[in-house]
Parts: sequence; structure tokens; C-alpha cells
Amino acid sequence: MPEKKLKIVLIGQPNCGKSTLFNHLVGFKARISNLPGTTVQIERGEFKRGGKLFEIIDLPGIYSLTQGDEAENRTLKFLLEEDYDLMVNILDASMLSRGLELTLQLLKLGKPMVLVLNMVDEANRKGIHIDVKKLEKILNIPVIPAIASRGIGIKELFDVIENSNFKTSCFLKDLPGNILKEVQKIKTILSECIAHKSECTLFFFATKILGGEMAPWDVISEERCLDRINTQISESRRVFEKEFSMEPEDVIHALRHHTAMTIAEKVVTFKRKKSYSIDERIDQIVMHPFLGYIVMAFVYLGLFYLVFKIGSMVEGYFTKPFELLYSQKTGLAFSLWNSFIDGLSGGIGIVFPYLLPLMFFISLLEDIGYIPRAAYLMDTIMHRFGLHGKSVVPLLLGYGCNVPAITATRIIEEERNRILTALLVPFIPCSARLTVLLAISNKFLGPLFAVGVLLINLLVVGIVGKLLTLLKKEDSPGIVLEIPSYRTPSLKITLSKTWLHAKEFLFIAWPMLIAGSMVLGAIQFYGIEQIINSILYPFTSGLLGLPDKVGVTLLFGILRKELTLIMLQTAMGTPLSGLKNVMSNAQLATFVVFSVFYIPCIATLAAIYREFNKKVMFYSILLSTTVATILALLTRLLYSWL
Amino acid sequence: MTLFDAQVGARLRVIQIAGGRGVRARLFAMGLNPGDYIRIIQIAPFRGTFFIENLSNGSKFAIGRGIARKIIVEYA
Ligand SMILES: Nc1nc2c(ncn2[C@@H]2O[C@H](COP(=O)(O)OP(=O)(O)O)[C@@H](O)[C@H]2O)c(=O)[nH]1
Ligand SMILES: [Mg+2]
Repeated sequence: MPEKKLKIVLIGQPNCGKSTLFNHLVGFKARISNLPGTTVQIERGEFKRGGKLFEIIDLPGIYSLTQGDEAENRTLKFLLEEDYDLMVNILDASMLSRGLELTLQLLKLGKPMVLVLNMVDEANRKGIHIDVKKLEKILNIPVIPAIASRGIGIKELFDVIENSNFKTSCFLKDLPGNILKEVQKIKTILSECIAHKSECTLFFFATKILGGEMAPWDVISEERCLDRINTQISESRRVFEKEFSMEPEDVIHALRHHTAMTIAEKVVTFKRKKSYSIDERIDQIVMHPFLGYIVMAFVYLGLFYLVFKIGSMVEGYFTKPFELLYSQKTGLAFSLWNSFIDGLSGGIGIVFPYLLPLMFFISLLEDIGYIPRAAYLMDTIMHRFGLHGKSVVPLLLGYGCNVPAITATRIIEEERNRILTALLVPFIPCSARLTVLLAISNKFLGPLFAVGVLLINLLVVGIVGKLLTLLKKEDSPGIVLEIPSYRTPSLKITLSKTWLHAKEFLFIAWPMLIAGSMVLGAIQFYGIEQIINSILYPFTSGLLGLPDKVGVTLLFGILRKELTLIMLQTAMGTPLSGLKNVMSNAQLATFVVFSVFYIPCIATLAAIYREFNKKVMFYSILLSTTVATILALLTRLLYSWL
Repeated sequence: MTLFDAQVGARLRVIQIAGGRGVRARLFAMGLNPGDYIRIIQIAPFRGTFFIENLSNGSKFAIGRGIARKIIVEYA
């Protein structure tokens, strides 16, 4: 018989340290970032403790249990519909009152709950000291103070989880008598119409229905029940209007806000420290209406430059040894062997030296808290393009990998903006494409070429964005994005994130590169590649002026973008360093530009398909190929003028 | 007056958040409530996006100017 797992869900407001805690519980697996909305996918992990098996689920951060963006809707749906044994509510202690508003809502779900007061260090830095015992007494659930980033409080949480004498508390104190009475009436009808829900959950439904946040037909289907509920709602709403002259949802919210503030006041002692605001001083420059943009340019160009330098420094050491392994003999076996070496050396020698530093610096940037700031700076510009700064968050994440960037579009509320952003994401060169760009610029075309492509890339995102928004005109209400405080990145977290990517590369991408390269070797040996190349000939050679041999590499590149580079060696029958003998600079440049912009890799397409539908996926293919062709043509023309 | 017309750096009190249920619920949940004291830290060029601080808990937000027009404030 399979062991019974106890299911634990982690829930909290964005950026409260949920993923950090999750990682401590299951051993570094989830993405941690200092930007709201990083966990947009539900992550699961398991751990064993005291002979028992636990499943732990990291839900996307939500500000409250009201309907909002895609991520919030999913979390709410999960909490209401799935089965679980314990809720671990994580709360940023430096923003106690705001966090408590969510806690008060969660306490109405009628599930066992534990509260983790995270970021106690941040709170203390702000002069906030919290009386944990008192808070436990008021909320009637266990409260554990913690500093997740330093692993403090984890053991105590484990202890509570392990003992599993979970406590359910149903907190209704934030509703005064006259409102409770109305909620009660709706609840009574609900309890006659819905089976298998706790008293507390029914109260929660009743409150939401009264507040207009939930439609009665979301929870009941019977016609007769619906009629009764609707009559009761109109009656209760009239009572509200008379007593408060406010909409019910505003009344309920105001009361909850008030209750949270009162609780916070009761448990907090405030020791004013001398104002400590490094953040403020940094932001005076980083968020400055003029200097901010210069800083941003420096940050991104600096990042690419560093990766460029590091990559070129170490690359030689890796690739040289492999060049001795190539066989000069002919025959299928030798041809396969040579392409095997191509894949092997391409992966370890060319991709790794660029990919690893790139991942490292990008995670560093995410952890410090720079990305939401860049989003603020870009919002003004994006607005002219009909999108808002929230779109910048997925776009900036795209430099790492397009797949999580597509998922991250869930932080955008409006469906139209989500789709437009998802169509723009593939235009951001991910680390694989940056690797192709940096490696070839490094060897043949010079750093200025790389910078040029990156700048033109931004321009393209802007122009395509503008065109897309013209096609689908609509007013977006604008950005509301929390700007978190700066955090000193933890080396452990940054390294573990980099390692996560390295692992993905070593175990998934690298074998694929080797296999792809060998398949090409075999195809070449039997002369099949000529068929593919001749089909593509009018496009590759005719239109773009590339050697006809590259056709097949571009086709394989759709699998993984690194493949274009590695297979270029196999296809042209020369190691990377020899490429200049068989391709002109104009051809190399055209090739790189086309590789950077054409069809995103299979994984990204799958992500678009999963998040949206086939139609959006085909739009993306069509759009990216068209843009890539135009840009490649322009590159060809430009080089012929030079 | 609305946040859009307020001066950078001045201490402001939120009186009311006008606008649809969506915007209001969002701002409430993110911890911007009537009665809170706030301050504009910075405005992006061309009367662009607002960077504000909620003085009651130190949280900071980027807010589009359309939304800034919906936040009714007074000098405090
Ligand atoms: N100072 C401090 N920082 C923390 C603590 N816990 C997490 N962090 C940092 O807060 C940021 C957000 O953490 P993350 O786990 O991604 O939050 P999530 O959005 O809730 O999943 C990261 O930069 C963490 O390193 C803590 O207890 N104290
Ligand atoms: Mg997270």
C-alpha cells in the first residue's frame, strides 16, 4: 500500500520568501527572485521527516483572496478545490498589517494553518518587534518567527509539521454583529445547498457572495437554491446600503483592514532606529528620470560584456583538447565519431563558458531586486507602445530563458496584454541565442556587432510591440507593481539557481546537442542533407546569400538554439575557428541575426501553446520568421554596402 | 486633488480611491488604503509612471499615471 502523504501548501503575498522556505524544506529546487510574481507556476516537492512522507506545494504569491490576475485566480481555485492537510501561511513581518489581511482571509477557509513570520531581520531593521506569543493567542494558530534566507526558523517549522497536531481556527472576529447577521443568513441557505464543506468555508463563501466577489453559481447549481440566494443577496445589500451607505465589498474590506491594523498594533512594539535608508540613496540614482536609464544601459551592457570576456577567456582551454580528437579517416563510423566530438566540444567548450556566467549574472540581477525597477523605468516607454511595464518583467526574464518568461506573463491581468507580451518574448534572445551571438561575435565579428544586435533587438521589440498594439487597440489601465527593497543576494541561492540551469543543460540540452550533431553526421554521410538543403536553397542562398549547407542547421536549431552553432561546424565540416575560411563575415552576420530572431525553440513554442492556444503559437512562428527574414536581409544589404 | 497633480516629495493622505472595482480591490490588497500616508518619490520622464511609497509600512510601488489619476489625496 502506498504511504499516505500529508499535503502541505505554502501561501503568502508576493515576495514574502515563500520559495526560499520551500527550498529549505525540499532542498534547493525552486526559483527564488526578488521580484513579485516569480512563482507563477505551482511547484511541488517531497520530503521525509520522522518516518512520514510530506508533499509540499509552493503556490504563486497572492495579495488577497480576491480575483485578480491569472496567478491569483489559479491560487484561489487551488485553495478552494484541492485537497490538502495544512496551510503554511508565510508573512513578511516587516509588513505585518498588510500580510495579516491575507491571513485573516485564509483563516476563513476552515483548514489547519500555521503562520510563519518571515523576514524578522527586515522587520527589526525597520524597528518593528513582534510579540509572537500574543499573536498566537489572538489568531489561535501556531506562529513561527523565521529568517528563511538564513535558514532560521526552519527547524521549528519542521517540528510543527512533524507533530501534525494541526489546529483549525475559524476567525470571524473582523465582522461586527450586524454584518455577521446578513452573512449568516446567506450561509444558512448555502449549508442547505452545498454538501461536504465546513461551517467555516461556508462562511467564507457567504462573505464573498455578499461582497460580489463570487457569483452564487460558482458554488451551487440547483435552480431553486439560486433563486433563494439571489433574493437574500438583494435584501442584504439593501440593509448594507442603509447602514453604511457603502458597497458591501468595500465595507467588508474596510473592516478586515481595520482588524488587521488593530491586531498589528497590539503585537508590535516600535523601536525607532535612526533612519536607515541605503535603499533611498541607491534609488535616487537607479530610479532617476535621467540617470536611471544610463544605469540601466550600463547594467545590461556591462552584464553582456562581462559574459563576453569570461567566455572568450576560458573557451580556448575547453575547445583545444577536443580538436586533437577529430579523425581524418572516412567512413560512417568516423563521420559519426567526428560529429560526436562536435557535439561534445560544442556543449562543453562553446556553450558552457557563456551560458554559466550568463545565468549567474542574470540570477544575481533578479535577486538584488533590479528587475522591477527596470520595469518602472521602462513603463513610461512601454506605455507609448500600448503596453505597460508589467510586460517588462517577463521580457527581462526572457534573457535567461524564454520558457519561464512565457509563464511569467501570468502576472499581467488583461488577456490582450498577456498575449501581446507572449508574442514579444521570443524576440528577447535567451541565453542559448546569446551564446550563439557572443561566441560568433567574439571569434569573428567583434563586440560591436553583439552590441549592435542587442540594441537593434530592443528596437525591434518596440516596433513589433507598437504594430501589434495597433492591431489590437485597447486602453490598459496601467501598471501597479510593487517595488521590493534591495536584498543582498545570497551566494548560495545564486549558485544553486545557476546550478539548476547547468543541470538542465548538462542532462537535457547537451545530450540533445550531441544526438542532433550525430544525426546530422549520419544524414550527411548518406547525402540526405542535400535534399533538405536544396529544398531550402531558394531561401537560404537565394534570399539570404548564405552557403546552402546551413539549411539543415537552421532546421535543427528549432530544437535548441545552441544547435545552430554546433551543427554549423558539422555542416561546414570545420571546427568553429575554421568557419571564417568557408563563410564570409557578411554570411556569418546574416546567419547570426537570422538565428537570433527566427522561430523560438520547441520548448518555448510548447509553453506558448500550453499558456494560450494553437493560434497564438502559429502567430508567434509566423511573426518571428517574418521579422528574422527582414532583419537578415537588412544585414546582408548592410554588409554589401560596407 | 488626485495623486497625479500632487507634488513630488510631499506627505499626502489618501482620501479615497476612485475607479472600478478591479483597480480598487488591487490597490487595497497591495496595502494602499484610504487613510494611509503616502509620498511620491519620483516620476518617470514625460509625466510618466509614478514611484510612490506608502509611509505607513514602507512598501513602494510603481503606479501608472492613469491609476494615479484615480487616487484622491490631500496634503498632510
Ligand atoms: N532579509 C531577508 N530576505 C529574505 C528572507 N527570506 C527570503 N528573503 C529574500 O526575499 C526575496 C524573495 O524571496 P522568494 O523566496 O523568491 O519570495 P516569494 O516570491 O515569496 O517566493 C529573495 O531575494 C530572498 O533572498 C528573510 O527572512 N530575510
Ligand atoms: Mg516564489
